[in-house]
Amino acid sequence: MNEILTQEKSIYLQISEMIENDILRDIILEEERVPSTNELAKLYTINPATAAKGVNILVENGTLYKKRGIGMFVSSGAKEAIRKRRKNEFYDNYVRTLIEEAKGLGISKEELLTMIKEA
Amino acid sequence: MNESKLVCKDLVKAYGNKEVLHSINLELERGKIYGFIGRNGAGKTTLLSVASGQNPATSGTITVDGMPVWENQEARDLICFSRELSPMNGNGANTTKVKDYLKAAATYMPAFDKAYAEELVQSFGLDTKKRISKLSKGMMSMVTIIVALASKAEFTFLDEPVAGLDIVAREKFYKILLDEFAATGRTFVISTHIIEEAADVFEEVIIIDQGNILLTKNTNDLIESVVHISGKEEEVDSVIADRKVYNTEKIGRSKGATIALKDGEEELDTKGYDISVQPMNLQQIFVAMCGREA
Amino acid sequence: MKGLGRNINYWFNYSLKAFLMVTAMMVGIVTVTALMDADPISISTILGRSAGYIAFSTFILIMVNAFNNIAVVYPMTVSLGSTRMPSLLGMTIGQHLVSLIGFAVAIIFFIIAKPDMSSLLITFWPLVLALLFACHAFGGLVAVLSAKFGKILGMILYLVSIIGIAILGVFFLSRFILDGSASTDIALNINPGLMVVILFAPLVLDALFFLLLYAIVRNKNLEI
Repeated sequence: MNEILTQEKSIYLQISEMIENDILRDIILEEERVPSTNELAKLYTINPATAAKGVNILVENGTLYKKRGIGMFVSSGAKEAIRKRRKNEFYDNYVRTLIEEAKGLGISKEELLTMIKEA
Repeated sequence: MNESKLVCKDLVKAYGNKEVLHSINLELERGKIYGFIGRNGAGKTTLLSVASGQNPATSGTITVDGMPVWENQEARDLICFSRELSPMNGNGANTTKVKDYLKAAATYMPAFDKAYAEELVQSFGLDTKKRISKLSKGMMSMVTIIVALASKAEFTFLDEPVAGLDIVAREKFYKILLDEFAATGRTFVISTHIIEEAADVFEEVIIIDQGNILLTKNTNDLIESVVHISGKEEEVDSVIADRKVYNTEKIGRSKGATIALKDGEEELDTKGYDISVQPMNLQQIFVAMCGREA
Repeated sequence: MKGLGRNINYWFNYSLKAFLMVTAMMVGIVTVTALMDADPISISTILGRSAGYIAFSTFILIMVNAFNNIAVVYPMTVSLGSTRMPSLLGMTIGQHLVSLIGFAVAIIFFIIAKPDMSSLLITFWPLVLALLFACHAFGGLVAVLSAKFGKILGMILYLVSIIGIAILGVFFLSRFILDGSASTDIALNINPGLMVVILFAPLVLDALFFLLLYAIVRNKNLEI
C-alpha cells in the first residue's frame, strides 16, 4: 500500500492495482479489512471520491466485499482470482506491445525468442 | 442539509465600465472539494468575493439553500471566504495580532471552532502574539487557512491558500483539509496556481478564463476525456477534423493537438494512422485551454 | 436584526480597548507630572487633571476611529462574514457607548476632585451631551468623506479635525468650565429656542451622517 502514485495512469486505477498487489503479496490477507477510503485519501492526499472509485472497481469484480458499518474486506479466493485475471491481461498488456515494438524495430521472431530465453 | 447548494445565476460583475465576470452560471453541491483554477486576472478572487456575499453583484443572483446571499446574515453564516492576507494592504486584519484576528473570526462566525483553531495553530507552529503584517508569507497563508477550516462553514472558499507555503507545508495542508473533509463533508472551493499537486485532491475542477467559466467537471472525467495527439500534420488534421480542439502546435512537418474525446468514447481510435496518443495531466489541459498565444 | 449582537460585541470591545489604553496613558502622564511637582501629591489633584485629558482623549478617539473604523476595521468585519448594516450599526453603537463611558469617567473624576463645582455640571449636562453628539457628528462627516473620497483625504480631514477640536477644546475648557461665572452668564443669556437647536442639531446631524455613510458603503466593493 505504500507505493507512490505516478502521473502515467488514472489515480483510481492505481489505487485498485495497489490493493491487488498487496493481496498478491500477502500484505493484506483474505477476509482482512482493507483501509477505508478516507484512510487511503489521507495517505495519498487524494480526494476520497477518487479513492472510493478505485475501491469500487474491486468491489464490482468481487475482490472486496462490504460489511455494512465496518468496512471493506478481502473476499476469500480473491488472491487466486487476481492472479488469473492478471495472467489473462499479461498477454494484452505486455506481450502484444512487446511484439509491436519488435516489429517496428525489425526484430525477427527467432531473435525475440532468443532474447526472452536469455533474459 | 445534504441538499444544500450554492447557486450563481447569470452573475455579472463590473468595476465601473469594465465587466470582469460575464454571466456566470455555477452550481456548487454540498460535500465536494472543488478546484478553482484560472490565470491571474481571470476573475477568481472577484467571483469568490461576490459568491460569498462580501461584494455586491452587478446583476444576477446568488443563493444558498434557496436563500439570497446578499446582505442576508443567515445565508452568509453558511459561507466563509477566508481572504488572502497581504502585508501590502492596509486593511484591519494586517495591523491586528494573529490572536485578535482569530478572536474576531470567532466573534463573527457562528460555527467557529476555537479548540480546532488552537489545534491548528499548534500544528503549524504559529506565533499568535505577532502582528499579521509582521508574518512571513507562509505564515499569513496559515492564518487564512486556520480561519477557513475553523469557520466550520458549510461552504468554505480558500483563495490561493498554499501560495506562500513550502512543499512540506502544502502537503500538510492537503492532509488536514482531507481530514476535515472526511469528518464533516463540508464543501470547499480552493483556488490555486499550483495545479498539479492539488489535482488529486479536487473532486471537481472549475476552470475560469477571462471572466467566463470554461467548464465545471469531475477531475477524473476531465483528465480521461482530453488527450494529446501528435504525428504528421495531414494525419493529425484528419483525426481532429470533427473534434473539439483546445490547442495545436506545429514544428516542421510535425503537429500536436490537444483534443477532447467524444462522449462515451474511451480511447481514441487511431487505426490507419501513425500517430501517438498521450494522456494529459490537469496542468497540461489547463494550459492548453487557457494558454492562448499572446 | 440578525448579526447585530456579534457586531455590538465586537465593536464595543474594540473601541473600549482603545479607550482604556489611552486613558491609562493619560492618567499615567498626569501622575508622573504630579509627582514632579513640588506640591504634596493627592489623589484629587491627579483625578482633577486627568478628567480634562480623558474628556479630550475621548474626542480624539472618536475622530481616529471615525477614519480608521470605516477604512480599516469595517472591511475586515465584512470579510469575516458580517453583513453591512449590522456592522455599521454595531460600529456606531459601540463608539457611542464607549464615548459615553469616557465622558462618565471624566465627569466622575471631575466631581471627586472638585465637589464644589458639581452643581455646575448638573446645570449643563444637556450641553455636555450635545457636545458629545456634535463630536460624533463630526466623526460621522470624516467617515463619510473618507468612505466616499478614499483613505488619504479621510486622513487629511481627520488631521484637520483633530487640530480644530484641539483648539475648540482648549477654548471651551478655559472659557466655560474653568471660569464658571462666564459660562453661567452666557447660558442664561441664550434664548430657549436657540438652546433647543444647540442641543438637538448635533443629534440630528449624527444620525444623518450615519445614514449617509450607509448609503455610500452599502454597495461599495471592499478594498482588500
